[in-house]
Amino acid sequence: MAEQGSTRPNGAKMAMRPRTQVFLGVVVAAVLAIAGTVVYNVAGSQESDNTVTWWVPDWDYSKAAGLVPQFEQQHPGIVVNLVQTTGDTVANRTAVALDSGNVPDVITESLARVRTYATKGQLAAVGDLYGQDMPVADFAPGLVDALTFDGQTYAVPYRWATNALIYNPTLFAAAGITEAPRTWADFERDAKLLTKGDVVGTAWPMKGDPSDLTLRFLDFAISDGAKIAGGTPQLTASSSEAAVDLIGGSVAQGWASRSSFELDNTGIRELFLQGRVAMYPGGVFDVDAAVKQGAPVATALLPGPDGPGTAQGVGWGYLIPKASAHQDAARQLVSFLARPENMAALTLTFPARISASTDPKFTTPQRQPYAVQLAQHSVPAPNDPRWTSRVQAVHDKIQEVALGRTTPADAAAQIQALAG
Amino acid sequence: MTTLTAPPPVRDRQRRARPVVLILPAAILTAILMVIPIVATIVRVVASGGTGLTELFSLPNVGRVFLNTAGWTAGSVVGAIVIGYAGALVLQSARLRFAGLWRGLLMIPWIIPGVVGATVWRWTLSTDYGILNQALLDLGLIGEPVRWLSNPDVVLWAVALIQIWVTAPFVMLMVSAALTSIPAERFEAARLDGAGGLAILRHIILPAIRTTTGICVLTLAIWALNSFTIIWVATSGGPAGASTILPVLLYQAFQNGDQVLVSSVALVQVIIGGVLAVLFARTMRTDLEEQT
Amino acid sequence: MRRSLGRASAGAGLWGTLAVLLVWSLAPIAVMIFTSFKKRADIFAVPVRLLPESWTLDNYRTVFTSSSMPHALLNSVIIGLLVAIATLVFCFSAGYALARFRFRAARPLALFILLGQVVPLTVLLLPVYQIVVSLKLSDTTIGVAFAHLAITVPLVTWMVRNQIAAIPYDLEEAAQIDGGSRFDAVSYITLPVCAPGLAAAGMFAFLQSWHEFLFASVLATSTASRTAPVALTQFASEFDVDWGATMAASVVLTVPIVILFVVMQRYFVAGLTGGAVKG
Repeated sequence: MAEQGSTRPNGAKMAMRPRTQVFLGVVVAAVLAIAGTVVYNVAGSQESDNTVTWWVPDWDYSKAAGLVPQFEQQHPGIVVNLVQTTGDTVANRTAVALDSGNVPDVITESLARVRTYATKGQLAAVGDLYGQDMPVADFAPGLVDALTFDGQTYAVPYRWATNALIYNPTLFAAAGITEAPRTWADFERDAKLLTKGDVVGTAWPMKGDPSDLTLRFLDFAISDGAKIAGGTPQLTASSSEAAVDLIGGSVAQGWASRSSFELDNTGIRELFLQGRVAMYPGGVFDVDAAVKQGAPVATALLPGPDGPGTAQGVGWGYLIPKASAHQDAARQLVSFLARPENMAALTLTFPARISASTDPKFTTPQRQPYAVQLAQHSVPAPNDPRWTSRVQAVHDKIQEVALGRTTPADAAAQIQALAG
Repeated sequence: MTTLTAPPPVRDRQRRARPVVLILPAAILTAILMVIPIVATIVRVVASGGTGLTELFSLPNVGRVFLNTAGWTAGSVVGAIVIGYAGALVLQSARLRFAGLWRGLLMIPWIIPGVVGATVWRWTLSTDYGILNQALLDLGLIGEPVRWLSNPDVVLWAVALIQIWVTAPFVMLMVSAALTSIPAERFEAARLDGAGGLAILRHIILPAIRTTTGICVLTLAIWALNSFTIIWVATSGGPAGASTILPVLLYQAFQNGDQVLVSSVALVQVIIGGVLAVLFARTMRTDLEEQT
Repeated sequence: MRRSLGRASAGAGLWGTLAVLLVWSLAPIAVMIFTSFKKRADIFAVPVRLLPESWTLDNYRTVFTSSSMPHALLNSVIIGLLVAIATLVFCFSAGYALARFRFRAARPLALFILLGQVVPLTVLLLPVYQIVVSLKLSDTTIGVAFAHLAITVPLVTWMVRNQIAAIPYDLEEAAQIDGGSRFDAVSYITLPVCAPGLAAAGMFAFLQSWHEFLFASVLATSTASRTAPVALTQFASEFDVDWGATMAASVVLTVPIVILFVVMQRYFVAGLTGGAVKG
């Protein structure tokens, strides 16, 4: 094949050019295309002064799209640009946007991460939005405080919920148990009674996000004496030991599913729906799913050492980046969204404002214990970044107890050293 | 063929010229996309006084993480090479029909989205409702379900299996192609000399595809050192950190916004990867010089 | 007699190995495909069944009518092609230069380029993001393609370099003697010989870009440039994952690429030749 070039006479010299020209032509075209895109982007990015860009996760998108026209009607002159983020990527994208300065105007973000951004000075203070129309007292106890650092509040929450105990009344009846467990002793006794054949008493989410497991750990520890102060958990050895014993010990002894290592929240829910897990601390979404499917479900307050236990609240809210160029319009949008009726529309779990929870979808009989848990037995989850960085290690310790490799006492001591 | 009529000096002159323009785009890209971030990383690690590194090496499970990473890398590289070679050798056989179709089908693990592949394997390996345990039980090969993903002694190899499944097609592709370029005469000569299959493998095939093997090992090792999705989806690094490897540690630090720790882990990964790359370049140096 | 028995057992060994490899490769794929036809309750049914209890097309309907997957598939293909082409252009010139020219900096430079492959992407995230934004290319396919060059250029440069080094320089020289410029020699002689190898490297670059998630998730803020791996996560709502739809989307993503590959594979096999083998 090489021969063809070498045996032709010199006249072939001319015939060779076209291919080179084609190649150069392609390169030129590519450069022009890229330049064109850049110019188009620069030109197109002349926004009006009153375009508010709002980042919304997938799951809220359609409801948000329904609310936006109402807002624009009430605030002529402001245009809302809705951008759909995918749930998994919210944390990354928000962090990168805030770090780089290329920010939208309103971000729907998890309240657990607000402190990280606020301490880096990346958020605008929104404390002045709370007032007559949006009184602090209308929000769940301790919630606005948890979002206030150095005297300034940095987020407006719209969703806020805790776990409560979900159980299968049919399985309970079959085992002769008449009411939901109220104390840890009841919980353990009932779970052991219910564990037979294909059914296990309970299960823990040991796979997936480590904070799922440590949330339950911390719920138990707080119920037994640990505290959360200034967004930081203050653990005690005895409460840690009791909590670790409850979770890890139950797996080691068998009245919690041994396959917990492979289960995340979704897995546990699926097993519950099929009647293979009798009870577990879970969120409101699981209850709705069971009701929708017609599966037997009932709810109760989380059991504590000798009475109702305390649960941590987690949720989502609106942030306004400090670097946003449309602060006023952004604040107007956030105020609009924080109105009780709009808050209720956007929320699947529970709204952050008590006045919004009168909406019928939040007052079904199964949700009643959740409302009580939230109002009377809840604290906001910790948001100290130092705790967050320890969550994985705590999670692994609990699993070691579940594997039978460590005793709860040893594990609690190590957790104390890590995070105390 | 041609006769060399060009005077040697011209040729040498051209060979010694500096082709700056040709290399410039690739070199600039590398500089922007790689060097600057690496330097920034090193600066961040040094500026923090090495606190990131102390934090990393004082994590309770750091020894385990390094051990896991080594085992994972070695296991998945070896496994992918063995399976990739097997596939390539089988497809190479003159006796086989529809080789193109089989090759296409065997490529699918590399093409499906990583998350999906990992999830399907997670379902398959599930202790209670995975079809693997079901099949093994039905065949009577095991007495009770194996806890592939929740037994700390087994889990690292179970996830390495997934990595092998995903990466073996790449090896198979590279080796397949390399095999076709071995002239048929060599095989015939060997057969005439009475060599059996194994001898042919050792003396003809393996030497001829040395460079390919080198590229495969390097690529597989780099993939293994950066692979995070598979383990995250299958086990989230558990149970109790039994399947946590460096990239998983990096991701966890990244999610926590712990920039200093991120930089430190990244630096360690760059150093390990760099060592492998240098080893590879050295091994390939002799091959290349013989070629040019 | 003995010989034909030997042949027969070798044949059986061949088919046996192929069968094992096929089952090994395709069993999980079968799970994926069957799951895409299952209803929600069926997917997590215990005891697990491979085949659906009742077949349904709902998942595919979801994918095609109420998801951004078709658009994302298009984006991913476009970005993949852009990445493959750009990679080949840059790497061919660099690889050619590194293979043909002997200058002091050649080996260190080659190693320098190779080291680019070992950097974790999390470290590159912010710098690359800032570069793309400052080039006003954020949320465009071109911007994402540029970011992806970080994971393709280093290795492909080496693949091409090996490739070209295996081709004797005499061939190009002969073309030049006949009056062509060096450029012509390359495009008329070297390129055709390398073309299959370049196609293979291009496919490698395409798949690297195809699978990439981190950069794509951060650089694409809207569906205008969202890629397939990122779009797959849209079936995961906050507390729940629609696995049926995810598997259906995955099938939709994979089928075109597999077809493309089967069509292209004749080039492949002929193709990865040059760089890997001596003489």
